[in-house]
Amino acid sequence: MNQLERVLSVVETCVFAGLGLIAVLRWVRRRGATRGWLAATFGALGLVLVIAQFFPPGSRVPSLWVIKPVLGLIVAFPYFLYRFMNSFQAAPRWLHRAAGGITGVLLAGTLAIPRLPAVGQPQPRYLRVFALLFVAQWTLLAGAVAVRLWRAGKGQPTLARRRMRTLSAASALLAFVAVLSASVTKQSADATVSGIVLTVLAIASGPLFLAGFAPPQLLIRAWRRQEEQALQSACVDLMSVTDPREAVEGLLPQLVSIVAAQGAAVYDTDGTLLGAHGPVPAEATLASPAGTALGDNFQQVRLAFPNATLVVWASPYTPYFGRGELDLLNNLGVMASLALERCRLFQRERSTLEALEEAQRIARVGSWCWVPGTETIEWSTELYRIHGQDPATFHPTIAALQDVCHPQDRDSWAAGIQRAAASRTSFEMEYRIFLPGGHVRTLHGLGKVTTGSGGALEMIGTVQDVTEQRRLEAVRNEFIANAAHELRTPLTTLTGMAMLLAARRHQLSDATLGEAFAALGRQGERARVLINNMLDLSQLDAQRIPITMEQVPLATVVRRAQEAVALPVGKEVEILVPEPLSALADPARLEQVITNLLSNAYRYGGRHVRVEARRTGGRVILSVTDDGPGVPDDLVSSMFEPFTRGQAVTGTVGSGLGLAISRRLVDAFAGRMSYECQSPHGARFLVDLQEAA
Amino acid sequence: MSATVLVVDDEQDIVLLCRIALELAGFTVLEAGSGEEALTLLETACPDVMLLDVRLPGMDGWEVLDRLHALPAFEKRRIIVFSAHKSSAGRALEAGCRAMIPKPFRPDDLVRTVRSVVEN
Repeated sequence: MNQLERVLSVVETCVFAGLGLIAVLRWVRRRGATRGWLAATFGALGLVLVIAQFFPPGSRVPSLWVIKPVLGLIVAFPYFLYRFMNSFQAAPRWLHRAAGGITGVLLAGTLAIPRLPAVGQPQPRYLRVFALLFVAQWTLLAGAVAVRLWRAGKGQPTLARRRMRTLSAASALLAFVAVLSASVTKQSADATVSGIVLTVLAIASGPLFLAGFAPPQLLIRAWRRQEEQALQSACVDLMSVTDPREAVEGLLPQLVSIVAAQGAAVYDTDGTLLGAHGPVPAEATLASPAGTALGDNFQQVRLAFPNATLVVWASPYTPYFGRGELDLLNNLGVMASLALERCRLFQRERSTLEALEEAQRIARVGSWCWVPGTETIEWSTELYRIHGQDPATFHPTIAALQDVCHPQDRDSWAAGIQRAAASRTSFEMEYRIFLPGGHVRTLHGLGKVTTGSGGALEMIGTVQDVTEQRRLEAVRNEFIANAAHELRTPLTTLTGMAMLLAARRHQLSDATLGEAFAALGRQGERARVLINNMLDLSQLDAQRIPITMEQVPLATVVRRAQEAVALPVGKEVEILVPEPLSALADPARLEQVITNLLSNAYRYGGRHVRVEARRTGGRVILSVTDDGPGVPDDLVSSMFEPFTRGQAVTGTVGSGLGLAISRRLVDAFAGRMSYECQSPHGARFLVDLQEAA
Repeated sequence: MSATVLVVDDEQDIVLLCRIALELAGFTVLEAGSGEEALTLLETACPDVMLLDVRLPGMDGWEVLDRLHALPAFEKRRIIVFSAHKSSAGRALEAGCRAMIPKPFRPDDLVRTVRSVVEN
């Protein structure tokens, strides 16, 4: 029995001396109040047990000068343990005072002990009081440590929680052992048995303490499995995000759960908040994260990375018990930092691409890239739009492009591409394509052949939609051709007559001379009107005609127009324009419009012409109606285009520009000009203007 | 006896110019303002030369030429066309016309062309 007791005692000493050594080494290596108190705690306990080994039971009783420091260390042990606990979070004041008070009294008592009774002698009263106080101190302090650590473990990450609760259990166990040891008398055989049991229990608390403050790697790995899995899934998530906010928003909750923090925030390099999780104050900046707003129960932990700073509001236990978790956090932070950098590059690339696409859209220029010999040609978004094709369904290949190419341009297009590829030169071509709806578009392509990566031949180029330019060019060419045509008759007459008159006027009768001069006058006037109209039209198209909008009394302006155009013989005109009616227009230009409509009605219409005006819902509709044959069907669609001209019934031909000018003028008044066919026959032109208040 | 020339043009002043120039050169001039009018006139008259404008309202010059197939009295090769476009020359010659006078023209060119057609 004594042998067993002896062995157990050595084991116990070894365990606690080892713990003490580990705690002291840790403190030496890393310092800090927490580690310091822990080193003191287990250093004291280890020292007591080592000293006890020099005085085995049955040997001589050690002198009081040896016993007193040992007793002091035993009394200090629970206090050191309590201070270790207190280094995380201040204990309530009463507990702090009680701990200090009772420990002080016990230390004083230790110093005051006059002597110890010999074996077999009854214990003096002061010693019983001392033992009672000792039990009270151990129960209070070790109990407080056990309860507080146990409760603080709630909400901590798995590893920290288990460490704290293991420490809590170990403290409770040791307190239990100490209290029992102090109260068991050493005379009976039972005492030997209970001594053995207590020693075994004390030894058992050793590994528990070790697991609490210096857990072996195996245990760490087992306890941290859950957090590691969370870390892995967070890393996987990070790899797929492309938006920094998305990255931060996805990361923070995981991160907070790994270290069981209250909240976390990520700041940019310039200190702006990228994202936050938990009750982080909105006004928190990197310079002043306002962690105090969360109270003293939380400790701010900062981790800086190349392009971001992570601030975590963790529990006060985190820096000690969650050291490993902070390492995990650091790993995650590095991953997040990489992911953020990737997001930034991705965004820069995307915004560059978007700017390019926008520029292409504005310029209506698409671009493409093709490696000859491969099937698919790479198209920009604008090129799909130019072709009217959906990128989801249309796959640009040479064959597909030949299909949409206009049959007349197909061969030259394909030959142009082949020639460029063969000669490795730059190229330029113009061709027409069919849109899916059947419309034709004219495209102008520029391209060049380059040697791409790996030395393969690569063709790149741009395609511009020039349909509108070509249409406008055609309109302009047609306008010039028409204008030249219109000038032929006046020019032929003017030059021809002038030559005849210059050389042969003496051979001509007076009547013929009169006819010749009249023709000169007519054709000169015709050329003048034509040129003025052409100038008007070009200025209207360039929006260079000054338009002065004012309140125009319609009756007055119609009367002036009526006076300007001579009423041909056999025609009648009826004016039905109410006196007070006014419209918003340029008065001189509105008169020009009405004059044109009246002269058209006289020239192409029947016997009766009617000019009317009426008000309808804030608009004024002026109409000129005749009972002639009406505008021929084939001219209805183009009558407002320049040089569209019907066959005059009476009088001289017009320039073919009157209606084109009138329509543009009415447009400039923010009005609308339209034509209605009359039943059974006749023409009506309507001018819809805004009524003047 | 002087040769007779039929001038067909809807532009009255062109017709007038042709009449003065041709009469001064000794030709007799007949006038028509449209294709229909010319065809009606040809039913009774038989001019030596016909000056025909291609661009006429209603029935145009080419249609007049087609209709003339039905009138054996008049030979198509005695026809001279007026045309604004030089490109019409080939078509005019294909249609059996003798010459083409582009507009604008000078009176002496007109007279010279008509005279050459009459003399051959």
